[in-house]
Amino acid sequence: MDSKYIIFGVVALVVLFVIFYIKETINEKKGKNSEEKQKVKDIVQKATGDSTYQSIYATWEDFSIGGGGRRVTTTNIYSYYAVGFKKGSLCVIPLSFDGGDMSYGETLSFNKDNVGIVNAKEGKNWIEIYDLNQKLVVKLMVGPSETKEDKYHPVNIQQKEEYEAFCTFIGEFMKEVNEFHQVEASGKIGKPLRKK
Amino acid sequence: MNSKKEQLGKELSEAFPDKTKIILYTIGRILIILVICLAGVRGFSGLKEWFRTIRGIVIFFVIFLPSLLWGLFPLLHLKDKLKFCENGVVVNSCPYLLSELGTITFQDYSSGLKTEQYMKTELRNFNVTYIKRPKKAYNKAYLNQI
Repeated sequence: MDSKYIIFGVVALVVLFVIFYIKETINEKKGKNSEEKQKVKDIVQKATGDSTYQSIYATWEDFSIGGGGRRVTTTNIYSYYAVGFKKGSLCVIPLSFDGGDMSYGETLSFNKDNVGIVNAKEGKNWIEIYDLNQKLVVKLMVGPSETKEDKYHPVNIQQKEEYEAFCTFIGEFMKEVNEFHQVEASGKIGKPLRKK
Repeated sequence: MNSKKEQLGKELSEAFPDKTKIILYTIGRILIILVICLAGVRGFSGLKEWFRTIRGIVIFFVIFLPSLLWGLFPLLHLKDKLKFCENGVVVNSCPYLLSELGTITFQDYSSGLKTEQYMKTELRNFNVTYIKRPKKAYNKAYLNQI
């Protein structure tokens, strides 16, 4: 192969990387005190009517492969949440995006009395909430940095402090609920109970 | 049908056809048809040749007319409309109650260059590709705004 094609390929890759890096840096800067972050905070406060809740933006992405024969289909389901949390209490508010608009649905409030089992892993960033009949109610994941990539990743939010606080909260909430109901979580997504 | 309409309740929001999208899609399809058909008869001069014989005319219309129908097909969607009401949804003047639709979600479906949007319900999936921001209207009707 002609060496100039290799050089052209490498240059193209470098240019793409630089563009991606600049875009990410700009989005991260925008996300520090972004409008979206404030909106999430406002939604939590409005929905809970309690200013002592800490707020965080959470998501969940389900990926599945289907179809048959020659046709293979992939399905991605994106869920977005505004989450309010404080010792012993968790509020999850589903969000919906369209263009730049953010809307929110009914608040789901959780505490040890209405949650059957909390499945999570100590120090990890995801949590599954099961009702008293051990039916999954909601699952969500948080990240320290959310950047706008496409219509399915619609916000710029930097939330490192909230992320650390929420990861700690997950462990505490799981311990509180599961000890109350005397159950042991598996720490595996989709499998709430540890096999004995 | 009438009783269903009566049960729908107050209208909360509406979504109308995306005229720009429909016209652009139609123009795109017509251009594809013209390019393929004219390439098939080797340009406008070839077209004259074809129209000199009955066989040529028949073949041309057997190919051209169905293609033209396919090209103009998006124009049918100029009538599309979604109306969200207190107890139901009207999709292109057909009423459905929320109790029969169940959970409503919006799904994008991509296949090659083609992207379609569906409003998924437990009853059936509605193609809302040619409606302008249907999710915005849904959010406005049933969710809280900030």
